[in-house]
Amino acid sequence: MSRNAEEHLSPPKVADGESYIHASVYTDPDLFAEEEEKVLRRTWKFVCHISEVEKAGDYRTHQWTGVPLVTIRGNDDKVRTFVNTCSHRGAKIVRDVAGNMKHMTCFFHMWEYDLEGNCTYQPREEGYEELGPTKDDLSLREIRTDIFAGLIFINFDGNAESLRDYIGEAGEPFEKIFNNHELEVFHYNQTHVKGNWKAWYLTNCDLYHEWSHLVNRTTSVLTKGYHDRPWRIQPNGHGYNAHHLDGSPFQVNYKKYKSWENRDHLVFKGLAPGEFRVTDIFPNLSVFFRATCIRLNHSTPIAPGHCIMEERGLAIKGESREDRRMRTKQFVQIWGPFSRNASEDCAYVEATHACQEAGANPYDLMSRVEKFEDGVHERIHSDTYLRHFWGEWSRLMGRPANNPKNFMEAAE
Amino acid sequence: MTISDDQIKNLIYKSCRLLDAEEFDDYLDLYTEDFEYKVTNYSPEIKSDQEWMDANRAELKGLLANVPLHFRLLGSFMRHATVYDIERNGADTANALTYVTIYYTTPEGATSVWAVGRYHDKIDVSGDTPLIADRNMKLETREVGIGTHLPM
Amino acid sequence: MSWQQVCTTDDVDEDAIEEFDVGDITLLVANAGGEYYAFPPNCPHQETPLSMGMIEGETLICIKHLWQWNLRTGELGDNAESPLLKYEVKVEEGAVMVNLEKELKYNYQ
Ligand code: FES
Repeated sequence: MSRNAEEHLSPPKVADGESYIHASVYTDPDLFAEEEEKVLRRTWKFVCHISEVEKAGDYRTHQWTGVPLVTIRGNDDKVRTFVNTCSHRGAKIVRDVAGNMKHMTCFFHMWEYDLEGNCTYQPREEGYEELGPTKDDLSLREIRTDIFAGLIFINFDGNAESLRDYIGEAGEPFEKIFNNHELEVFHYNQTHVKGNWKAWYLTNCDLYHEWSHLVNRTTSVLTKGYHDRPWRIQPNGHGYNAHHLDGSPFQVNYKKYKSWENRDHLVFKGLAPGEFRVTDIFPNLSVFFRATCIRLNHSTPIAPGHCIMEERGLAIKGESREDRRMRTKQFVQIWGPFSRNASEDCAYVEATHACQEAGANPYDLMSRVEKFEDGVHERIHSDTYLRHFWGEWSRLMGRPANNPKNFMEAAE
Repeated sequence: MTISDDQIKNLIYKSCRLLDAEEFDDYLDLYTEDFEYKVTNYSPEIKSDQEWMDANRAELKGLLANVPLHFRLLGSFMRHATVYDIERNGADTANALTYVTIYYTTPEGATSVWAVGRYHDKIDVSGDTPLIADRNMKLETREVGIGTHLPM
Repeated sequence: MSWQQVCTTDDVDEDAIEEFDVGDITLLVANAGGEYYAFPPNCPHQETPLSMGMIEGETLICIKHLWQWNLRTGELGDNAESPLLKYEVKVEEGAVMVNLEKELKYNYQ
């Protein structure tokens, strides 16, 4: 029997209240603003790969919680991030998305900053002698920046724990492999997704949706041992999905998709042929391995229903043209704008958001539990990680994800 | 008999029409046996050229056969092309440069520009009819919404 | 109609599934490692065309929810919740003969 309005609006009938969320977490502007303060500016956020700022003066501009930023390598080889705005009138200083420069010059009044963020030049400086300030008072605002396994992260919170402590054991599936090679970014794309940034991220973390991708259905779900992998939950909202419970790798059968080859050449050192792993780093980075391919995927929140999703592909620096071509070919089969999976994921997120924004679907279920015989570990089609994510989100927000608005109203 | 410029133009325009109509078998017939198809662009973010699609006959055939089994953007594409230049490389091949605008129409009938780019084609003119030996769809547009399974 | 020639053994590649019409009856013939099997065109689950399915050894797999059946024994494999209907098949001098006495149909809801 179909449900009437009252039934539809009442919380799902599940044994555990933590196993669903209220859709307003994806759509509410107040929650979005609060989330910027309490979640996005207090956790470590992935920016780019070190190869993107390889030499002194190499920079990459980006933004986080609306704040324009520039990440740049200094003459001392240290990678720093600054708020990308001039201390004078606030013009954006570095306007290109990437490049190299000796110093940063604001195009409005030609003030100049060095790569360490010091204000080093003002035309006709004597004009500030009477009233001040001095150049020393005008250096750029620096944002904490650190590197883990070649991945550059920032944190607006000066008091947050170190990046290494923050990631902890969640680095286990990828740190060694990243360090086995000198890597560089060979693929980049970004897409404005009409959906919430968390919905994008959690689509990566929801392996139950592998049913919907033809690629995953044929090459993975059909493969023996597919379900025998546990979620490995880590502190700070992280988690990963890699080996079978017995420690053996999960090897995807790529040949099952028409005209594809198995991935047993060009496999990254430390992975088995065809091996799949995914690591999810709170709040929004997913690190994927598909034997010969590495994908870094995250998004930048713009509004409750709008995020900019970025995909990066990593390859081995200096590999032959043929190897690079093969690796690229395999990467873009599954990821990127002309791929089998990424465009499907975009469609799922946008379709979901359209309904949630209209209030059509008040709740989002995450009550799947498929346990191993040990009664402890949960299999990959369990919503284990989703519950973990929302637990961390609720903790940081001080609001339960299953009823954040009522809580808000009560507090007002 | 030498292949005329008009025959080459017609071949390129036909490739657009057949893709619009999703007549994939006929589309593949416009190519040589060992063609290479690519979608490429320049990314200022990583300061390098990159490939977003790279497929030979077998791969494109496999993909196009699977397209109906995939979830994809609803609606339709329409390609508008103009051949700007044809250059002969001796008797057997020619290079053609074509500017392409791809319009996307939603199921509700709203149309927008989806992407612009250029076909850099190598045309085999050694036989009775011209065939596409290589195609590089060099995209100017890098933001293509949710993306697509299809060659462009 | 009883025994009818539907195709020749060459018409269906190994591990392939092909569709044929005999009179008013549409059916699929699969070649699983040199053995030929004939069955109705759609999946008993949600009417998905089984011509898009996969053959792995003796197993037929529907592409949609991966219901699986052993073609030889008829046994239900992974995910399958109901049986696959099969026609009797015999191969005579390269001709694939199918007993089409009665069209096999599922009672879809
Ligand atoms: S329709 Fe065939 S398995 Fe569901």
